[in-house]
Amino acid sequence: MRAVGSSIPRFDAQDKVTGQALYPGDIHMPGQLHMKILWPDQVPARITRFDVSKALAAPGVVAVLAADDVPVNEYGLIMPDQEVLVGRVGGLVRSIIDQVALVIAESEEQAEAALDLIEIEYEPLPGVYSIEEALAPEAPLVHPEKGDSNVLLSYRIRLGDVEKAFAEADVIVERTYRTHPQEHAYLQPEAGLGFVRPDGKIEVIVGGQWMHEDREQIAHALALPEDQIVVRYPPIGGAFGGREDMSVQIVLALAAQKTGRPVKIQWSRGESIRGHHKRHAMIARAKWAAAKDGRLLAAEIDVSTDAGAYAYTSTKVLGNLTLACLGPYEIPNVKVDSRTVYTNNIAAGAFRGFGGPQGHFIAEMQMNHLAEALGMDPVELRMKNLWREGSRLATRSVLPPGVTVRETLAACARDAGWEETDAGWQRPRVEDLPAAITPVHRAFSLDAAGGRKARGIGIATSFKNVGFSLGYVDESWATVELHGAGAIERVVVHHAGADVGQGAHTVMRQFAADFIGVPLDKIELIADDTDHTLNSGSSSASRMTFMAGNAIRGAAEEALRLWREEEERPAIATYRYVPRPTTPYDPETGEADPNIAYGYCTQAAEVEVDLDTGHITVLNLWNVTDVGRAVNPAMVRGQIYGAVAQSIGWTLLEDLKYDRGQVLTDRLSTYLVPTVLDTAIHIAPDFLENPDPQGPLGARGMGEMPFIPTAPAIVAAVHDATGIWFDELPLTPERVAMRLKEVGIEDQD
Amino acid sequence: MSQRIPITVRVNGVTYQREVEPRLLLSDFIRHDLGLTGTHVGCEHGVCGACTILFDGQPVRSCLLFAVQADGHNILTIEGLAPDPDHLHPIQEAFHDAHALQCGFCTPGFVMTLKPFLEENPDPSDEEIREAISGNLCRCTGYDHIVDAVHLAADKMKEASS
Amino acid sequence: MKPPPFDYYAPDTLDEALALMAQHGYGAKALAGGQSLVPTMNFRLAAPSVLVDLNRIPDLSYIRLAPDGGLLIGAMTRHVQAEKNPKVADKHPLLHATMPNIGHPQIRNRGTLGGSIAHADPAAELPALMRAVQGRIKAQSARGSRWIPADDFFQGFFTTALAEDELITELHLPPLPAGSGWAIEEVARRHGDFALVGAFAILHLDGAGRCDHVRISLFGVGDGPMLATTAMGVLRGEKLDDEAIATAAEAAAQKDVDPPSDVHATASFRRHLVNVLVQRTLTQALARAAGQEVTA
Repeated sequence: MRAVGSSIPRFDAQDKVTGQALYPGDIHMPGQLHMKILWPDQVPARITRFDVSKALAAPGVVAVLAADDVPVNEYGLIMPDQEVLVGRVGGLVRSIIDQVALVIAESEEQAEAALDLIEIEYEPLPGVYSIEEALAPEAPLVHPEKGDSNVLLSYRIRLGDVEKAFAEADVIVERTYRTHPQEHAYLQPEAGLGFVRPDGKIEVIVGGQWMHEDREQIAHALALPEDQIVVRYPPIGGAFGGREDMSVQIVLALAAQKTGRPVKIQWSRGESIRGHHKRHAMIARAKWAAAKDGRLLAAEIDVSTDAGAYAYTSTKVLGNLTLACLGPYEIPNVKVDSRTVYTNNIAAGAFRGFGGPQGHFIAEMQMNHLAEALGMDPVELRMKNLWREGSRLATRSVLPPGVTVRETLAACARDAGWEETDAGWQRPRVEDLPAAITPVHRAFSLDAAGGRKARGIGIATSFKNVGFSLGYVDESWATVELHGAGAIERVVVHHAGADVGQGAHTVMRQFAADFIGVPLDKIELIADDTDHTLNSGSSSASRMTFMAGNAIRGAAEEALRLWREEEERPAIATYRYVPRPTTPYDPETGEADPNIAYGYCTQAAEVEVDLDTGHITVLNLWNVTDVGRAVNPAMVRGQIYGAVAQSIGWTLLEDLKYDRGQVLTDRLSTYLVPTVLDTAIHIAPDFLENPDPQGPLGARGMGEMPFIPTAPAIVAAVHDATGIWFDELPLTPERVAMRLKEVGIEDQD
Repeated sequence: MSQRIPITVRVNGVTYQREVEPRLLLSDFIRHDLGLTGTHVGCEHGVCGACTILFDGQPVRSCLLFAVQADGHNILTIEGLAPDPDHLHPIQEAFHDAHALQCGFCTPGFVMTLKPFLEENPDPSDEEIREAISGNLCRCTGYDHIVDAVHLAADKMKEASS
Repeated sequence: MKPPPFDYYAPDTLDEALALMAQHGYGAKALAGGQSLVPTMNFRLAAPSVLVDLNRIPDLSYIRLAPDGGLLIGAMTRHVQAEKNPKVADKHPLLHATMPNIGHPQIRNRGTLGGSIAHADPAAELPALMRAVQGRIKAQSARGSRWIPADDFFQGFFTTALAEDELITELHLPPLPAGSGWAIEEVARRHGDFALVGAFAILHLDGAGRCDHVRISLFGVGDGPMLATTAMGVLRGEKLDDEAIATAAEAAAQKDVDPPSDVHATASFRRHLVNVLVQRTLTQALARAAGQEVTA
């Protein structure tokens, strides 16, 4: 049996179902100290008094570390715009994500007690807490050292002549959209252990998404060569982009270095929610034009995102969003202005979809509105404009081969009851619906519970890049060792890609088994240690299957050649996979070949709206993602189910609330992650397997794609049910019910 | 010096005698004093369900009990569920086989919640399963494979008892 | 995160528990199921200096028929016991219908009815149920015992009529009037969470079809469980139809509540929900009073 294509159980499932898997918070060392972080309680503020002497003298306290103790007090994944510790007189607190000081003591209780003994006073400063405030004239600056504006970065795309197109258009739709921040809420709060090894190197055991990047940032802050730092990843309790930036990594290494003893840290849920970045809030104004026959003529978009107080990956997310907000459509005239702005909120950064969900909320909502304005079926309108093989992006480059967005839309539309007729695609009508699908325009009435309910159906499609974008030289290293005499008896694969729960390490084994031609039980994977692996890049951007597969294939092919042709024993080969190059946006026109490859996903949603309480139930969610090749079909379905649940959470339930930079929803009782009763009642996790010519055995990335079209599909379904468009997320019962009360409900029949 | 109280607790069939501060949470006692780290803590206030254990056979949140309350009681954690090191409990087998986990951090809480549920409901409907696990959060799986695994576990348990 | 330190007592008898409460008074807290108390201690929002654990006292967990045909329920009866008790299903369908709305299965395995009443969370079901059914709460101390009507028991935000040395030992739920209709409905942001707003309705019609008994009790809308007294007045003595119900619901929303705003909902949305839920519960209760099957 071939390994690739088989739904073998995850190799780590045994340890996880027996409780044997040790997560970062479960690992201890004899003699370890405990560390607590002093968090700021005012933002933004200047520290006017800072005295740790009483804390240092407290029982059990071994060290109190602050800004002056950090050799190079700066870090950041994209740019070092954040201090590791801000605690010093004159120190600037920009956001509650800032860490002020560290208390390290013999016990957790002692460390916690000593936090209260740090004497600190703040001078409050004027802040900006929204995109609008940050962009206002004379707005207080979050980073005064970076010039006279809060804009961190802006992009533009210019193609054709939008003004001329608007003048000639039959239909123009102009709307404003808003989306909200989202918390990752992985179940395992940040934790870790740092210590100095007998060989003098500092080792940090922690959960992350890119161990070589963690190592680089630790080394930078500690002013040490990278080879003096070792980062190890044990089993990680979820990530979704939220572990891409530093949380406890640098401070653990610093504490171990300063005390010479092992140092343990365990964040509470509240610390996790304040202490790592969020999905970007967005506001956008979009004006799109079409001809009577449905051809898109022009798209003009002005979009801003809230980067929070530090850059994290905001610039990269903006790069993706700038393209995603146009959707997977051929549009001859384009004008996009995008920017990401500093505010005094928690920093924003990577979260499953990486700008794709916000961008597609703009694009797909515009298509929804245009379909209504044109009186055209939403599938038919999309089919008229979707990318084809050989289409050009608004950035003027030709799409990489394997453009299958139409196939996903056609398959999903059929699943949800659409039909392709001589007159084009037609949405399901009541009399044609299969029994499984609820009547779309059922007259609502008082039922037994006295509730008026309405049902509706909606659809949306999407694309997402695979791999790093816009000129970044992406790479992934793998080493394959073939051991044995006559036959290959044992295979050792080295690859640094992080398994954050998505199953990357199982997929790597499946690839290795097939590339080398041995059964799975001969494969040993070493993937948890920077000392025994080379850079793999991040477990993000839906890239790990694609990049690791290609890297392992290269190393396997070379090792097999050495084994057969050179008869080396063991045969060992190291391979660096570098995908085709991409290019950055031209600053004036946005011209670029932005991405290596793409994946495509379409979803349809059927909802029931309680017209009085505003509660929305997702009855059915049909998903069709093109995954190229399903390396492990059950794990592919698991990614679809999981992405949809998270996206329904973002669309309907989750609502991170701030009050002037302070987060009001810092518990799992106030930040509402869906339970099993809050997701869709039925999800059809279908996928296509049209190979990507660049992908290993044709595989495309797929982890983010099923998150992206959910929100606009649900909003379209809610419109179908109620006649009302919601251009702002989330669709809380309050927002829905109060709007329904305000405007009444159109009679659909 | 704060009060310390001697307790005797049976955990996974082993009797432990310890002295504990009253404020020590049962979840911390299990994880730190007994070293049974399969019981996970995700929220510290009874919302996520990751710390679910069996307390005299009933699934409860161990973060909402004090260790001192366990004196004289019988506790089962994920480490004590499998009959022996070479065999898994049918629920564990089903989670393993049906891909009912990704990061796995929530898994012990789900598995412990389900043991008494399936013993009382050998043939549960989808609806009953969803109600039974509605007090456990999972951020990775979207729950569908977990529901599948519960059906599979029910089949395995029926098979084992027939 | 760890709760603040406290002294712990686990008495084996009620008398011992009452003696401890008398001895420690203010600063002492009774520990029942702990499903509300322990989270507040974990967040250090509560810091009792003494906990008196009631879990080792036998005889505080029972469900018995009361002489009036209602139920007498021991304070330490766990939610799950009431949820699955056939006497409750048979004799008190409203309590039976209420139980699954409380938290999640694991919470119901541990939480107790007496604990929930004593905690008096304004968004909790059982305090509002006690007001709807005109229940009584038995408070006991070393000084003696007394029955407190639910209408007098809940006195404000997490505040009750219990004296510092008193414990709840028993709840009395009178039977619903013969032939009455009842309903419970609540709206939460997420399944199993505390309600944004919830409502109980009980009504009875006389031989002429006029309402001769009505109770509407609301939760999540104020600093404790609240009766919709204006709405009840609108209905009393009237023939009930959709219009009368709509009028009563509007009165409840506009005159009977002054709901709070929080991260989950604004006051105006809560007011809107009061209208919706009073309408729904009255409609269901009326149908039941008319002998119809109702699936909520």
